[in-house]
Amino acid sequence: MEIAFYILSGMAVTSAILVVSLKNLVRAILALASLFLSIAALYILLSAEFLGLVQTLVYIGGVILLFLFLIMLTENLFEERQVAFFQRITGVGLVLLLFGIFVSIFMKQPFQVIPKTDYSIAEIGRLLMTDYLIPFEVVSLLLLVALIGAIVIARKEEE
Amino acid sequence: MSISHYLSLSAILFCIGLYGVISRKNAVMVLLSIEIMLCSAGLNFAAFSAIHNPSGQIFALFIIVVGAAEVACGLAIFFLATRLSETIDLDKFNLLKG
Repeated sequence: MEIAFYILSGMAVTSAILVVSLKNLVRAILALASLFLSIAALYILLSAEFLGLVQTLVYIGGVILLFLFLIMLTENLFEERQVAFFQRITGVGLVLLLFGIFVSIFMKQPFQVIPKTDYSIAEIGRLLMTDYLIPFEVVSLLLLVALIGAIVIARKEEE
Repeated sequence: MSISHYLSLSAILFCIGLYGVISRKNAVMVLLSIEIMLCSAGLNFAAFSAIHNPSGQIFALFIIVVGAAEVACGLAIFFLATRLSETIDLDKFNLLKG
């Protein structure tokens, strides 16, 4: 368990750094796919198998494919100006400050060992159909709206 | 395996994503960084659900759905932007300024 967690988190952090630092868009997207895969494996390590499956299906199967299709269909995506040096330094400083705040919050938390849980998929499904029925329906409506919105935005205007 | 491990990992991922949002100028790169941040939030929910109850997994599921919807809309907007202004540089999207 321990060794698997360390390998997967090393993979996740490495691919996240690659995503924000690579110049080539296609390579950054492939690094993002590797990040999604390691996060899905971490979900399965947390015995959230359904979440890991959904992560793999939706993100690697859908989102990465959308990004690659956008790159295939459009031009001028690759040009990128470098940001100013002082802006980059400011970014690093702000991010380190935020990380320090996070760490100081974790220090106050009690040390909780994760017990061996086993929530079955049936339990998730029961919750989705009882306690979280309204949010579930709202989320499905959101997906529909996003789908229609994307089509309306990207459609060619008839003059 | 304690929950602090997962929280630290998700904090590191969130900070990397935030750095990407701050320091990149390409809009697609910013969207990729936002996806990293959403992933780290989902990991947090899953870690807390392992010590409390399965509700956290449902919220992580909602985060995944919202991320997918956001990518669909965002990419449609970028598609339109490249057709209108031939660039995807975030500082040059100033059509509303007049």
